[in-house]
Amino acid sequence: MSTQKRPLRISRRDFLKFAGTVSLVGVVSACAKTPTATPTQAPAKATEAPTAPPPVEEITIKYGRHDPVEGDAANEKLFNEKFAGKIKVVQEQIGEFITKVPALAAAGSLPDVLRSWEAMVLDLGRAGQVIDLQTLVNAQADFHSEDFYENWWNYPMVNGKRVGIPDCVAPHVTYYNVDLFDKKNVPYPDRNSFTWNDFEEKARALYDADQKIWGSETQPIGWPYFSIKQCWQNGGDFYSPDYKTCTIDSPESIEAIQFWADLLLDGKVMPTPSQIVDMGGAGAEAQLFQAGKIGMQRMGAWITANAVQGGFKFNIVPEPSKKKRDTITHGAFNAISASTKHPQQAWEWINFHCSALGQYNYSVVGTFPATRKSANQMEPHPWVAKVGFQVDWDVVPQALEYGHVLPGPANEGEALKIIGDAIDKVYAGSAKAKDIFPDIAPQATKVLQGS
Amino acid sequence: MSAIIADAKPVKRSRLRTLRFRETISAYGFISPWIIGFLLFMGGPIIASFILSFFSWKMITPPKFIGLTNYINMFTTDDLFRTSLGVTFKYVIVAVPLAQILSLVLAILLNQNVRLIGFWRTVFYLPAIVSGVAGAVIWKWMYDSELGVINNILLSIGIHAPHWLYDKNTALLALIIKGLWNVGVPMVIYLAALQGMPKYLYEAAEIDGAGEAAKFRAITLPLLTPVIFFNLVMGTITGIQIFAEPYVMTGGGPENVTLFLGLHLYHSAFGYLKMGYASAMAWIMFIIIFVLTIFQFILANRWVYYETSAG
Repeated sequence: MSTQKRPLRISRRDFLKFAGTVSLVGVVSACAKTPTATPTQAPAKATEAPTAPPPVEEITIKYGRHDPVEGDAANEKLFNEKFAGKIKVVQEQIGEFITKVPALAAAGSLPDVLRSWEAMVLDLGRAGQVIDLQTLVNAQADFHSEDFYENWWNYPMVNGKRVGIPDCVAPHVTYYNVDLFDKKNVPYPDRNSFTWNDFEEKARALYDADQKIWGSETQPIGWPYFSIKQCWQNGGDFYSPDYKTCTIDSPESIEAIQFWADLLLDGKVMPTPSQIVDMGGAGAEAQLFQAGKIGMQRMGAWITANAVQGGFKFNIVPEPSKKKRDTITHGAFNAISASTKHPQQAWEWINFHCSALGQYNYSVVGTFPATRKSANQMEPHPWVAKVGFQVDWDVVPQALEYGHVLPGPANEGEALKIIGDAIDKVYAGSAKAKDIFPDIAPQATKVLQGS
Repeated sequence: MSAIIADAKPVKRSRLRTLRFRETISAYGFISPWIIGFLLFMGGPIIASFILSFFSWKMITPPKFIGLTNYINMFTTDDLFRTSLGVTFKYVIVAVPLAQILSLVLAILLNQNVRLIGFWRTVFYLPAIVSGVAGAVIWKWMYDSELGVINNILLSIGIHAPHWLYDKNTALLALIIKGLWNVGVPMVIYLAALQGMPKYLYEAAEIDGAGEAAKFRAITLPLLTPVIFFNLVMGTITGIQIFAEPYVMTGGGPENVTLFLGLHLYHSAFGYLKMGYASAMAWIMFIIIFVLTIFQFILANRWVYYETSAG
């Protein structure tokens, strides 16, 4: 028998088994939670001299929002400086906001503070995903809730609980191309008495088929809420005040939608929807206005920059009215998630961000007004652009006094699909509002009343 | 010696030490990453969605058990579900056969011995490797009424083309045409089958005086039937599941003429936050695909010719 030691040989199979086992152990270890350190120090006895309190740990507050974080960079910097060492706010833009926020809520991992739009904050409030802020408001001596515009302050209430605090808002107004009006000798819209009939008359007078110039922007399709302001202006609405009934079949709403559908289908007042959608949808309309192809553009105050870049003289009047003056005021609310571990610190951020200074800092970037009246008195006014001609800029913040906040019913997505499909058919000329709205209103009501 | 042997008890081989058992364990060990991945990312969610289909769940509220209500509502109260089924079946009935015909024609053409055939095969296959969303974006621009290349070419020859994606009479047709752009995969499968055709059959047919049409009808087509069957089954499954194109190009409009079942499912889940209902719809889609596939297999006995089963 040989006494020589045989060299250790590992077969390829054994090696692979070993490597696979090690890898699996490594993967499982990496996925394991890091155990929190357990205190090993014994509690101090009563007779011992008291030890110094442990240093305060800086608490990080995550602030999630649907829009870019750059808009609030100034506030973030100022807040972090003010609360250095105690609270640090970190902003993050949540991509795919509509789908991601419910998923975060389902996982219990919403950011500490969430900035969301009208319907979503109410939905989250109904679901108990955000806390009641009223007690925090009451405890904040310098909060001054009376400084807010009433409709915006009263909006975010769910079952008596305040679920959000508003910051800035973009009202819809009418921008008009002064140079185009002069060229066609059309009288300017009167800011004190601008009606639907005036709008139609001026739009027809501005139309130029050869130059492909229209008097009005098109009726936007794809987002039904662009049409809700017309219902309001005629005394109608999509929903009842308690959001439980669809009221688009009211005579006022039917008349409103059909009026604007007739203008759209006329062809001599506004571009067709397909022409606008081809060029990028509702957002492209601002570019058409900028290019001097549209005489009057009804849209949010964010298109001021487009108007300035157009290089022509422009001015602003309220939206045209029928039975009453009304418009959309579109903004967002800040809510504290129910899953946060630091509600007090989260409130500090909201209190700062929604203060007069905080709202002013944000509105300077967005170029639209704040929901605090005192912020709108600070100068220079954010909604005012530096141009070399007279513009009635005060029309913009005035819209907050009569404008509506966008509605936020339960099951909004499904209800809006039913309403939007019907409106699209009317705008396409496939149906008349008086025929189709009475059919779909009960369907939408059923959805609104569903759990 | 014999006593020692007689008294010797047989050695019990530990089960662990049998070669077969060790090899079995090794095999499972090697495929365990895939099994774990499948259970975590496919099997688990499939089971979860089945259970969820019996609940009402808005994601921001706890799930509520409602039994078969989702399935009942789908067929009784949801008009959009019926609309989406109709749109999907219209698409499948038109697009799938057209795709098969086009891919077969292309495969026959690419089976010729001409110059630069490799280049042409690449060119015709390239769309198959473009991602669904990227292809949809490209075609959305091509269909643009003012700036799109399709309408500009048609206008240059005097044809005023419609607003493809925004006209309810042409939107579905536009998506069908776009679908034909992706015939690269069945084309390659047909090409492989054509190249595997036994040459002696064609030689024998030529000796008997058969022309090209007769050779195609009597030899090529019968031998291709298994491949046609495979492509039809796969095409039907893919057609029913279509999502990227309507999502990117039309959003289901205008007036829901391109609201496919997959898109309605997506809207129900992430637009209306009805996760339970969307899960139920996903299972109905599975059942539809399953039934159609079984039906195709049953029909296949009548027209699919397998060389190996020939007498």
